Amino acid sequence: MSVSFLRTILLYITIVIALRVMGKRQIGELSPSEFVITILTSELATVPMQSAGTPLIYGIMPILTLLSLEILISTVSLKSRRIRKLVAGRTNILVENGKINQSEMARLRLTLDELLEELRLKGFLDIGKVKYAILEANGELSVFPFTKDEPATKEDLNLPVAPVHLPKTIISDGVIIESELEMIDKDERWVKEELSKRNIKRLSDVFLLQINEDDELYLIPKENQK
Amino acid sequence: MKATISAICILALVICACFASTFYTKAVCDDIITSLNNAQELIRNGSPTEAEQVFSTASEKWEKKSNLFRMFIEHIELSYVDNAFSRAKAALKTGNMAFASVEISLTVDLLAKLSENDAASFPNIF
Repeated sequence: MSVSFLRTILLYITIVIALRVMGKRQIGELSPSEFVITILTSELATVPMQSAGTPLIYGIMPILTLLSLEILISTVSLKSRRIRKLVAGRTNILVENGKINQSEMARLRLTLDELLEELRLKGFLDIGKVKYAILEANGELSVFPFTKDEPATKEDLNLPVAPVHLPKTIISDGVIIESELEMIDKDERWVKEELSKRNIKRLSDVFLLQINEDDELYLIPKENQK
Repeated sequence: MKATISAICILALVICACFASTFYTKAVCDDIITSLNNAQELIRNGSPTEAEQVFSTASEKWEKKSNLFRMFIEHIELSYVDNAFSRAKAALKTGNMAFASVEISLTVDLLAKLSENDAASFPNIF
């Protein structure tokens, strides 16, 4: 039993490291090779995790091999367009100027119902309004309407556009974030003064404190939890 | 670049470990097989006491090495060899030399299979 427990921990750590090294991507965004590796990794870990008679190395070694191959293939793909096409596939234009590319759909074994469903999911009911529908290498469908059907932007309407700035988080869950505080040239004393102005005596009573580009503070006190 | 170098290093490490384990298994198994063949030869020549000594040396060697084998060989395969060693040992102790000779032959076969199965040969890969 303890063997199984320790093996699970070791394999878990190996998989987490392997997936972390592979990069931050969602399942839907994985390329075919990455998808295969993700599935294989989980399968490979299962056998030595459950069977104490199988050496742990039988799980770890294939995972490390897959990880190395994935890194090497993605490096080679970066350099060579041909290999990138071979490994990740290419994009396919399914609708062009409101006209369905039937030969491409047949080649991809994609039915009309599937295409219409994807278009509906993207908010397009009428194919005639689609300028381009492109099936990306990761399986996602990108849909672009004709320019005349695109929603008006602030620029089109000549409305003033305010730049967006990221607010700085000063206190998160009762803890001062020093690096953020330094960026706005303030210190802990200033924070405490601001909190006392708002009848808050302790830092631990603050759930979130942010400051925006206009030096306006946004404060959320901690709720009393029982 | 760092990731690529790490990947190449990991791959090299994995390949080295695979070949090292294969060569090690073969070397240990061949060594024990030679000892067991000697023990069998001694049985045939009518020297049961010497045969038992040679066999027990081979058995000790196996016990020592099998702990390391557990890290890279299926435990069930190792247990087959363990059992064969136990049976041969019991036969030698009871003085049933004909049976002991058969059991030693079986142990030799199992050890040969162990190193054969671990080799990166064409039939094993496919």
